[in-house]
This record gives sequence, C-alpha cells and structure tokens, in this order.
Amino acid sequence: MAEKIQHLTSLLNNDSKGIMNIYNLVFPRVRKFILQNKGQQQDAEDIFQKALLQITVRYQREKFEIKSSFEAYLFTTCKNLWRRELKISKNRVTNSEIIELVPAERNLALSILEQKRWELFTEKLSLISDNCKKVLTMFFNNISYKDIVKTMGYNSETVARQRVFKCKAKLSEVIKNDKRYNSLKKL
Amino acid sequence: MSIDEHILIQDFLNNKLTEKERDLVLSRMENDKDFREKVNFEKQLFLNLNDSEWSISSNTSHSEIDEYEVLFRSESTQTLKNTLHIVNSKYQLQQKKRSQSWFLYAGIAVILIIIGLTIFSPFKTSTNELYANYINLSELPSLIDRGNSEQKLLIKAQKLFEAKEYDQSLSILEQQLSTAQKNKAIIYLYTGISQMELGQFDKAEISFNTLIENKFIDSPKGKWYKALLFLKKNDVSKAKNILFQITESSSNYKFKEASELLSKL
Repeated sequence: MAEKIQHLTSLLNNDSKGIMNIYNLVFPRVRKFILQNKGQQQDAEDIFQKALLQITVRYQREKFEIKSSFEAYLFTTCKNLWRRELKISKNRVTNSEIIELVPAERNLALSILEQKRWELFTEKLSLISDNCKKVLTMFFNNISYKDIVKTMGYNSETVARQRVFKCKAKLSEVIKNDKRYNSLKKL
Repeated sequence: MSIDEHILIQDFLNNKLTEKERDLVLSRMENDKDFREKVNFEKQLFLNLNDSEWSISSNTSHSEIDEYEVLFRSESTQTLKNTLHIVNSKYQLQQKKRSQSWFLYAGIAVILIIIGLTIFSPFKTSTNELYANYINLSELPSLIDRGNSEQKLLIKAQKLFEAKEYDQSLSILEQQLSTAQKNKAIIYLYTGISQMELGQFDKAEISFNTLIENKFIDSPKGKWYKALLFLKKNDVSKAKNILFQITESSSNYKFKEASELLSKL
C-alpha cells in the first residue's frame, strides 16, 4: 500500500528519481510484451509514457483504487493501451470503422474511459462462478463450441451453447446492475 | 433475450449471416432500440473480454472526456510529460550502456573460458599427449641384476632401450625371451614397450598379455602399460576399460595415476 502511494506521489510531484524507480521496476516487462506483440522499442517507450500520464490524470480526478500492486496495474494499463493501438491501426488498414483524427490529449482522455469500461467488464467477469468464468473466457476468445465441450466435459454442443447463454446472461446482469455502467454505456 | 436471439446476434457479430439475414438484422437495429442496445452490449462484451481486441469509444462527446482533456492539457500534466520524456531518455541510455558493458563482460568471459579450456581442458589434450605424459620409462625396473656382469646382451639391450634405439634393443630382447630364466617379466615389459614405441601395436599387445597372464611378480605392471598402449593407439574405450580395472583396488599398481587419467579421458 505504502509503495502504491509512493509511486503515485512520485508521478503527482514530478519526482524524476521516483519515476526512474518505476521505470526500473516495470519498463523491462512492458518492453518485452510489446516486442513480442508486433511492436518496436519506440512503441514500448511511447506506451509506457502514455500509461503513466493516464494513471496520473485519472488519479488527479478521482483518486481511484488500485486493487493489485502498482506494478501489475501499470503493466495492465500498458497492455491495454497497446491493444488499443493495435486495434486503431487494424481499423485504419481494414477501414472498417472511421477513426477520427483526434488531438493527443482527447485521445488519452478517451483511453481512460475505455480503460474504466474494460475494468468494469473484467471485474464483473471475475465475480461470477468459476465455471461460468471459464466457459465465457473461452467463448469470448473465439474457442469453438467443439473445444468448449471437450475442455468442460459437456455432453454436446447444445449443452455448451445453453451454458454460454446462461453464463452470459448472468454476467450481463451484474454489469448492468453496477452504477458505473450507466455512464459508460454511452461511450 | 432468447437463446435464438443470442445465436443470431453472435452470428451477426462474427459475420456468419447471409447478406439477406444481415440486412434484416441491420434494419431491425435501426427500428428497434432494445434490439440495438442488445447488439451493442454483446459487441462490448466481446471487444472487452477478448484478449486481442479492444473497444474504442465512438462517442467523443461523453461528458467526462472534456474533464480529462482539460487535465491532460493542464500545466502540471505538461510538466510531467516533459519529465517523463527526460527520465525515459536517461533510462534508455543507462540500459544501452548497461547492455554494452554486459556485452563487454560477456566477451571477456568468453575469452577467459577459451584460454582456460586451452590450458586446462582435458578435451584439448590428445590421447598421444596423455600417453607421453604418463609413460615414465625412468621408473622401469632394470633388466640387469646387480653384480651379474655376465648378462652382456641384456646390458646392451638396456643401453639401447635407454637411448631409444628400440629397433635394436627389441631384436636382443626377443632373442632373450626364449633363453632367459630370470627376469622374464621385465624382459616382456621392455619388449612390449619397445614394440609399442615402434608402432607394432598388435605385437605389443601380445607381449603385455603374456606378461599379465603369466602371474609374475611384475605382471600387474602389464595392465598399466597395456592401458597406455591403447591410449597411444587412440582406442580410448579399451584404455578406459583397463584403467577401470586398475582403479578397482587402491593396492593395484598405478591406482592413483589410473584414476587421474580416467578423469582426463
């Protein structure tokens, strides 16, 4: 807890030494992840700086609670920002969605809300039963019903479909019942 | 939502519908608000919970966005942005230097290992070198009994042997083997070594075997020289076999040397 506050304070106070400490703790992992996922050194450096800015600005506004360690949270933020970058460049290539050219600051502001929506969805997924969590994780990651049947030991694909349907209904319910959802659904 | 509707929406999101079916869904989305919300929610579930996807927000007029944007544009955030930029450059430079020195140390370590292996490694020592290091002819017992001046031929053979004139010493030794009554074991030993030095490996093996099999007091010496013979022949596995036999008991002749030699093979 003390460390979490210490890192956040370093960012809020513009403390170079403290920020260097954060770099030493987390940057190597982020770099490795980005290099292994179609990125370059420069991407890792950009994403890391964006993530630190995102966390600082969000903390300035709402003093949100970081439930994991600061290092784990920063790593997840970087990971999500990189997923976002990949998605934007994919959309640009396929031109399936028109991505407006928005100023960097507005883009970062959008990324905070997207992160908050992602946190709501993943947090709720972790709250439903282990069995449902397992089935839905496979389902959302495009694992075929055939493989879901095999992994979960169901009798047929029909059973798997019904299970996915029921678990998804449960997840939807807990997401929609959270007060954060009302604001985030307008995104 | 019914299970049929769930399947329909999934197929729509996964582009598994025919053009006609797809048009129907799109028109329903346009006219039916509830259905549109269901489709959008399903899409959000998928984009947020699929590890390689991300849900980009399309509504840039969301009220909170402006608040965050103001904060991003604030002086304090711009100062932090500059600090992050500076710290990043400093960190990357440090890493570069660290990896350069790592390469330097790794390079030095590799050189030291190569030098070490060249000097100390048994793998770099050929079997012939090992043979030369372990054959110590000066420790061989003499062919001649003290005070027996009548053994002229053996004295000559001994001298020739010591002068490494193995060819000449061998002809005397072979002749002596058929007549000598005493010191036969030593004569076999000198014969075998001379043959070995002359490259007559098969003959040398027979000489050492005869020495070993005849149970003379000096017979055990035969095993050690037979091991050296195989070493000279570069037949490591046979050499090792004999050396293992020698190391079976610490009272065996050349027990210590045999163990040492085994560790180098």
